[in-house]
Amino acid sequence: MLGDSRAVAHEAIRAFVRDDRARVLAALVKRCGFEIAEESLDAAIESAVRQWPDEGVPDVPSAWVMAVARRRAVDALRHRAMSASARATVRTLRDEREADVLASLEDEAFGDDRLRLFFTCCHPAIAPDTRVALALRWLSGLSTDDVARAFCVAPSTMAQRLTRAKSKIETAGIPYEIPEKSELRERLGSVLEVLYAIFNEGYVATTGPSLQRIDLADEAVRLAEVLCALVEEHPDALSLLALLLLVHARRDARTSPDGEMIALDEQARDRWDHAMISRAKSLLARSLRAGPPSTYAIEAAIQALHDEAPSYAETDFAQIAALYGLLRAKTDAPIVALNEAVARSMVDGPAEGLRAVRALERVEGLEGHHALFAAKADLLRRLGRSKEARSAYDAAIAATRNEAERRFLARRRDRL
Amino acid sequence: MGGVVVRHRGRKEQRTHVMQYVLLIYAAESRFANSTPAEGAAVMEAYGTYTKDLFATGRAGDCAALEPTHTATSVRVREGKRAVKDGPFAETREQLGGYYTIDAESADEALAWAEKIPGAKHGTIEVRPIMAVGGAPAPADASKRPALSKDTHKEYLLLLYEDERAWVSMSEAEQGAIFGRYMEFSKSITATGQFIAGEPLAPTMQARSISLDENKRVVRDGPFAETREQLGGYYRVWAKNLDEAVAIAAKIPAAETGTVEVRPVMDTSAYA
Repeated sequence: MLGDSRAVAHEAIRAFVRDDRARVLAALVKRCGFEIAEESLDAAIESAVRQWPDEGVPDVPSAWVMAVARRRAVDALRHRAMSASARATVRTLRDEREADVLASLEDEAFGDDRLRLFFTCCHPAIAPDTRVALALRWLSGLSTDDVARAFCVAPSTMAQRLTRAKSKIETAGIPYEIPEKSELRERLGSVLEVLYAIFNEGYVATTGPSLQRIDLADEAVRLAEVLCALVEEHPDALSLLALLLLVHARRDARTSPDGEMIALDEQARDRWDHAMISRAKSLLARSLRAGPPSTYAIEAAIQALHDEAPSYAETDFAQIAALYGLLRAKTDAPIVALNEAVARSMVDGPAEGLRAVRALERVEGLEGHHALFAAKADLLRRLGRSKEARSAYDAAIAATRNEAERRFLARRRDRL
Repeated sequence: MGGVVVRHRGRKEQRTHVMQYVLLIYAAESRFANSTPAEGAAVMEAYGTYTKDLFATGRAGDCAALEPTHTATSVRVREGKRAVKDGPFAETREQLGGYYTIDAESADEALAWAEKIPGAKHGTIEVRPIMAVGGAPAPADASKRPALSKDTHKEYLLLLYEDERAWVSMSEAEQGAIFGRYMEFSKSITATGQFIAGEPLAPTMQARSISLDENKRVVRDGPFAETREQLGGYYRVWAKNLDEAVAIAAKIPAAETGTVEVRPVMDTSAYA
């Protein structure tokens, strides 16, 4: 019986962290600032871990946590130097009627607090890596240790990075606000970049043994869904969500049961999530109707063409190459030119493709990049130039940090 | 704070032989971060005493203590596009932590005041003349300015970094045009009540740096650090939040050719 209630309590706490932590954090930040909000929320969750197994899970867990966290915040503020503004904060926290707090938790406007949290932790004045870390900590509710693991750094290093970021937000006065309309697109761009970075880290973990980290990709998709609803389906947010879903739909086919990577040309297409694909395509169509396409919309259109093709050979590579050309005109990412060359080789043949890839070899950002070696190896293989292909695969393997990707390249090499 | 500007402007007209200097305090901020609360309070008290002594002479213009460099943001504008980056203009072993501006009759008098700054014991004080032109706009319409305060605004220091060789090699007409832009900028932030203080600095070849080694004064020619772009001036402003401070920074001409570092000013009212 006790084991049961323990399990129920732990599941309730997990659910709170996953679904409600960001909401409650956002509401607390509005009342007492980041440092105290996070400190008191963590303390309240610790109380839940201690009390819920014995006392049972409260009817509305988020209200319980909010009430405890508010009391903690009052205590914490009292222990600090009491400035006039701190005293005012204490009064607000202490005197606010329970019913009003509850109402604000339920309130629709409440979504605004969480949206503020998105914009604050993805603010351009925070270093790009740190934005990703803050988003995982505050929006996804990952523990500091989990965030450290995602970045392959020591927990103490990550804890210090997060503390400094919080201190910068408070001291430098990074606003806890939704940007004005004139700035929304640019600032939203920074939020979308963070979500895309989280997804890409989940899609191909830069280091470590397994190819995908589904949990991070899932998390990015979940946050993109939340964001989309919060910004009332802004076309850029819709496009990113569509892009993530169109790639995420292939997750089960991308790895074999023993965790080995399967490339697009060898994936079992019936294992793709076709319901997810058709939903993503309608999201993309909605975003395209709203205005000129963002880079995410173009990338999504490319992924949609892959997802629509009955087989690799029947893919509309001419259209894909044209879309990469469009993308290249909008971004300066050299990897886009490489992708364009590869797609073009499916139309013009491997000899032409090899010429195009060779022309990119000295481009900054691609020089020594494993994707460039891998593309070259593949084109040489298609041309039947096995010996050169072998050494290109070797170079690609040496430049790849992900172990599953290395094993995949080695298998292709050994098949020559 | 506008009063500070009024005071030194008025005095300058009477005593034209007096030069203005800025004393830039460079010290390892990790020292302060790793100190106990008691040690931290002792440092603040030492600065409080020094500040009181300096202002009692009627020769001090303006001063500020800065928040550490991890709270800094760098702003550049290129081809009309603004680029905002986390962090200070340059990563150095010791960091700019604050400054005083003073009137002095000679560089030696300025050095004597620099030597007494608590930070000279473990850091370096750069002593640099302030350019004679004066960056402060006429304070005549002070009464019409909106009253800004700590309740709604924060203080930021905008540090202007530029390649000073470009300035030296300009014709007088070109220099005049840039000064015109600075005067216009200063006027615009004075009109909104956001201007607190601001000065253009003389080139680093006129700088001297002082530190204390076992209480013995060590003076050398040149700035605290040799960098490709140099601190050429500053503005101290009120802004609602970092976004507003960054927007102000992006309007400074130096943002188009160099970098403007935005640093929150420490609230030292508790130690005053």
